[in-house]
Amino acid sequence: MNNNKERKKVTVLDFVLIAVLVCTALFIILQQNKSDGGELEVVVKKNSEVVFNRSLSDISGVTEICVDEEFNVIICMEPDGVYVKSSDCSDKVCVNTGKITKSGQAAVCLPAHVSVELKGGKSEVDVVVG
Amino acid sequence: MKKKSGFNVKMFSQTAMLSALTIVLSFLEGMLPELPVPGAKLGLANLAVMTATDLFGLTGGLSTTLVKSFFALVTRGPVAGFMSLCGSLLSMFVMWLFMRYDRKKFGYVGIGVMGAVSHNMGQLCASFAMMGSAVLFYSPFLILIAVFTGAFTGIVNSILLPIIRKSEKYA
Repeated sequence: MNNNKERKKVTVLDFVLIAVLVCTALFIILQQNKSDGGELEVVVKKNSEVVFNRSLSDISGVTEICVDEEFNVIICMEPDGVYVKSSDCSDKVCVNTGKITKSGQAAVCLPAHVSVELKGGKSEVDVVVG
Repeated sequence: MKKKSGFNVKMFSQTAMLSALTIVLSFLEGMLPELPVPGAKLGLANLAVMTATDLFGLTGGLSTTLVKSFFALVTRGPVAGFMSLCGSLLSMFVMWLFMRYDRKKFGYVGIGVMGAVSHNMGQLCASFAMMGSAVLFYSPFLILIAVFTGAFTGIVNSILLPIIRKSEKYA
């Protein structure tokens, strides 16, 4: 009945939509990479509670900690970055994230409710409130 | 040419078939190699959800979405089930809104992309509720990959849906 009203494959609006989305994504990536250098802090959270918090420069050599007994989430810390070495979860998102080296980056293991974040990095403004 | 009746057998059986298809596609997707973004998937099952939403509106979309999420719950555990439900419900609803808007304005690719992006954003919101701000780091990568996977879904459906609709006339 409505053959003449069949939707097109791509329209101009589709391209506008895609352009807006790609620009948003690139803008967020740029923002994330802004604060570079300076002191980095490792924050490990389990069930939204901080279980480990230390400055990256205080870590000498390779340090490994096991955060979750059930999933055996092993986080490996090195002076230049942090990564989830292994986890018994099914999706392995945390391990596949790889090494995080910059402020604002994170590796998350959803099944184990564990997250590793890098915070800090001396930018001119740390936090803008209000 | 639509008959108004309380119980539409054709719609019922076709929705059931599409729901079954989401399970098959979810399973097939699990066997594909990982995409470059951690946690991201091609969204093959979203194909069937988009088809069902286009053909039968919210009813079709809802039933395929629920079956898909239930399959994730049974095979991959409660966390995956919850994530799947949040992502697909939002995705289905957004695609439905875009489909209703105007047939001329948005093409299949646009609707597919919006579906994929909202799917990922729904999942991101769910994981944000569970994990806090750390997950936001993944957001730009999830948007970028959704543009590609959504365009793929849209292109496949732009080929499939006209064929399905044409065959409807002779059924």
